Amino acid sequence: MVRTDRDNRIPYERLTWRCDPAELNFRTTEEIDDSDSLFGQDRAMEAIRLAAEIPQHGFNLFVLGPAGTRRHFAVNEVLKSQAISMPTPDDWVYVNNFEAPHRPKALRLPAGTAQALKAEIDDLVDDLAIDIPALFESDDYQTTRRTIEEEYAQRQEEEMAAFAERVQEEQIALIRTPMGFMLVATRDGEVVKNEDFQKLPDDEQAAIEEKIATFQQELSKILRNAPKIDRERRHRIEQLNAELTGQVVTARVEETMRKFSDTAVLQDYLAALCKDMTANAEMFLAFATNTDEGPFPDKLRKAHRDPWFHPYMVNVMVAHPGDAEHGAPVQVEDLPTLDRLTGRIEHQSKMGALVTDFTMIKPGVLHRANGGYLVVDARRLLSEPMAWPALKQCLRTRTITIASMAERLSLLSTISLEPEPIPLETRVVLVGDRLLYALLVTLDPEFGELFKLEAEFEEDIKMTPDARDQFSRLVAVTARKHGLMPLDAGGVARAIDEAVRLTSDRSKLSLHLEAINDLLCEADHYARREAREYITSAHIAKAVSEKERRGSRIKDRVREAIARGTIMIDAAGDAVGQVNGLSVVGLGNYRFGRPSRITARTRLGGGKLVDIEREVELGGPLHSKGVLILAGYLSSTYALDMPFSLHASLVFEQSYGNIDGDSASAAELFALLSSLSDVPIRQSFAVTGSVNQTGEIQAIGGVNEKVEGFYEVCLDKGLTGDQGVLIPSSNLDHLLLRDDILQAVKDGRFHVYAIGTVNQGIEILTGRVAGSRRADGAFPPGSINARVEEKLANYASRLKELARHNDLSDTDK
Amino acid sequence: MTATGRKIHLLIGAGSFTDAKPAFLVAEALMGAGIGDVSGILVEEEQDFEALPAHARCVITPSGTVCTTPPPAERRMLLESDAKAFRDNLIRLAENAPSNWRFERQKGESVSRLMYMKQAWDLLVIGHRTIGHQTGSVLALLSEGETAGNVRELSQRLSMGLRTAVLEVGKDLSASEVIKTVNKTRAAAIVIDAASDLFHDKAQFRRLIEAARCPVLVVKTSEEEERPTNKGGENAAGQRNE
Repeated sequence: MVRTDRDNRIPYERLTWRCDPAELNFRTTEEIDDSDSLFGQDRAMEAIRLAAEIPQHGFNLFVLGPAGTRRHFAVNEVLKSQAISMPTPDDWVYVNNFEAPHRPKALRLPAGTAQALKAEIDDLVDDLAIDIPALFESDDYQTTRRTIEEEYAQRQEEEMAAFAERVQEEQIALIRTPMGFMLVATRDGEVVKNEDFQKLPDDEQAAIEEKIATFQQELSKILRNAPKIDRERRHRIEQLNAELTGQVVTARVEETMRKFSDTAVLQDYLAALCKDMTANAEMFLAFATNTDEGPFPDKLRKAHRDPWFHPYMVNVMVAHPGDAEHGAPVQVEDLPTLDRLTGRIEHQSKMGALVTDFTMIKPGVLHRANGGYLVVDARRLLSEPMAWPALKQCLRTRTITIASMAERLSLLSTISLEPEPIPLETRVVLVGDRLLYALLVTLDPEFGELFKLEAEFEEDIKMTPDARDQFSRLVAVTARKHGLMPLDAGGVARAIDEAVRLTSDRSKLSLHLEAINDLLCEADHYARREAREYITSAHIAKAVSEKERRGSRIKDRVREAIARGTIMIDAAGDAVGQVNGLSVVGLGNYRFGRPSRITARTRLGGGKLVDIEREVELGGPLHSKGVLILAGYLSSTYALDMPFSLHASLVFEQSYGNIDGDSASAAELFALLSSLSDVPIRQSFAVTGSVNQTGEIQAIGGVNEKVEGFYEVCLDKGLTGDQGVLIPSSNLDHLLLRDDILQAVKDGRFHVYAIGTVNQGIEILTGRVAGSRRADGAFPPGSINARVEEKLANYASRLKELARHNDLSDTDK
Repeated sequence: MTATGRKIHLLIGAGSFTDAKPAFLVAEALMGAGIGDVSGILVEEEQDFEALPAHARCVITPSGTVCTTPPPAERRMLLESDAKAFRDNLIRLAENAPSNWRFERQKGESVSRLMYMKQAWDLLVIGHRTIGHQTGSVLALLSEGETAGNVRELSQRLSMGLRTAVLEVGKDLSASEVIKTVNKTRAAAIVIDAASDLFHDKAQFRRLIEAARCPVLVVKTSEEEERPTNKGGENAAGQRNE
């Protein structure tokens, strides 16, 4: 019995689904309270909470899910609520390492101490810059020093004076020459020359010679002793300076030590500071002598700002308020470059060279997030050079190591530092999409060790009364949060409809909350323009239609081309080997259905099914798979005991772009069957659905856009009441058609058919019986399948004949 | 400036650059006290080393090394080098002041004779090398009379410049006692008045200089006519100048 198209026609009642405002137990969103606005993400939220609470190392979190599902919002909410109950982390400062200045020391201080320490050290330096010069200018110091100077000077002088007296007594003259001193004998004040000397008795000559030799040695000894005496004097003065400055510095530093007596780690540092300041007291003196000029009196000048005193400064890396209510930090880094992540060491150009010191170490977000949480967008992190390896290194070693990119790549050779790494106790949360997560899991062996938790955000939620209520609450909260007008129940119901339509499944509710948020904002705009009190369903509908209109320029051009016949689509009449297929064209967030004419041509051949799209490399792998399945279906359904002697070609007419997916495979099969059976297909139908080798029609995506696409073509060409779309029966729950199409269905001007098998589809399309194999193995005569099998059998016989003829020809030759 | 308002003429005399160096320190400390002209005389003492007995032809260098007297050619080179260094320092001193400068080389027996030469100077610094780096006081050799004030004033100025104290000596002491005291005292410089009757003859003054072992600043209070000087170091005729 031939199946009529009415058998598979979906009734209007089955097609419609709309949220009934009467089912919502409020009149306007003003009646809804402000409780939890995020819903449907229980699994993800539990994972985030676990990551926030678990103290063990490695339980960092990767939050994955599509954009617009409020992943960042959810993460921030959970982390902030947890952070407030956590202790405020310690402060961190870098100070000079007096023994190895290139390795600055990191000091961990109780929260609230860092800034106080910095201010104290600044004051200490300022005070000493006044106290030490004052000390050296004091009468006490000057007197003491002069006494020492005179003591040594006199010691030196006495030796020389005694020598001079003895020389004079012995009638020896001490003559100064440019080369040094000479000792010569004198007589009556005159130098004894050689000729006079020779006239002296031998014993006198010998005595003079001996005296002079002795005095020469004595003078030599006195002169050689001079540097030694000078050295002793210098040491005494240095000792005096050290003692006096030591007293001043120690007294002042002890004041500081007392202030921070409860911070044990500071005591050692302050002791080292005291020692270094005492040893370098001349810096304070030099500073004092260089501060004569300037607008401020010396006493008001801040010595700690002078680069000379940088070694004594405190570089605050992280400072927290000391109060306990502050909690742990939650840091979000929107630009996770290497420098901003781990911190950087800045350099200054001096005389053409780049120099640095520990005061030029700048903290990164890891420092600020230490003891709390850090949230980073995974895609941005991975797109920043060296940022991901640096973060992994920090997490693996549990320390923050500052190394610039140039240093990591060994590009720059300049003075740099190796700051002592700061221990890291931060829970890192990466927010990304599923693809990134999959890539990281697959390609990065360290990822699993460092990010043990994942929180996957759902895209939709099962539609239940409870979910509907939560959605209504979300709408209410969003409206309040963004200062939008309240919605009436109709408006909320329409918003729910749209959330359902976003999922393309009437049993689901979309969790792409950003899209809903945008919709409400636009609807609010229209409502305000009309000076309404509430956002109604009309405003939501207008926002939806306007959004569609904004994105539909290409769709309108395609529709126009079809209406003018430029793109040839028939919506009436019959044709053999020709069927209207449906595809979806997507651009950004906007998608629309586009009918395409699919044609099939068959002839005797070697069992090859040619997909022209694939031949010209316009067909994607899924499309090619669908076509090959057709070959499998044909060869396993018809002429089972004969060679498959068919050559068939399939093409999407007037398609000039890439095609992928197998949703047109059912349409292609119907075109082939029409061609093989020579039975025309009604062009008032369009078909979508994929087919398997057993002839079952399988679900496809974008069913609403496809139905709407063909409806618009029919509308342009004129609705006849015979037109409709065949869809897989498994797509029934995905149908959420526009109001105008539903109205056309209700009026009997357009139809939607649900098919489960190839036979059901071909019967609707041709109006003839498809036919099932009888007990004798044959299809009923005249049925579509019988005609197809007969054609294939003929091809096989003909092929056999041709083969025999060729064999005979070869024998003759 | 002097009391009459004319520029003060400072003369630095030394037998070698080694002796002149401490004298320049004294001169620097005095600059700014109205000094308008600075002269330098390097007195090349006429000493015939070859005429000395062999045992005396030894030199004890400032570092204490005993070595033989260099040959005349080498001594000549040393003198030239000293003269250049003397002149350069003099120019630098005059440029910093600024003031006119003049440099001369004279042959003579002793640098102390400058005191008695008809030179137009107001202040004379006779250079003498120091031993060691210790700084002593400024020794003000005072004598009775009106000039003591000048010596005191200059001693104070000098002590400020040399960052040391002033020690006054001589009011009630005889010349030999003064020399004895000077011999035993470590001084940064000694200031005396040329008009003082403390030293009457050359030998006594020479002994003072030898006992000082530091530069001696002689203050002349009686006015003499200034010798013409030329800016930029141009030389006067009739002198062995550079």
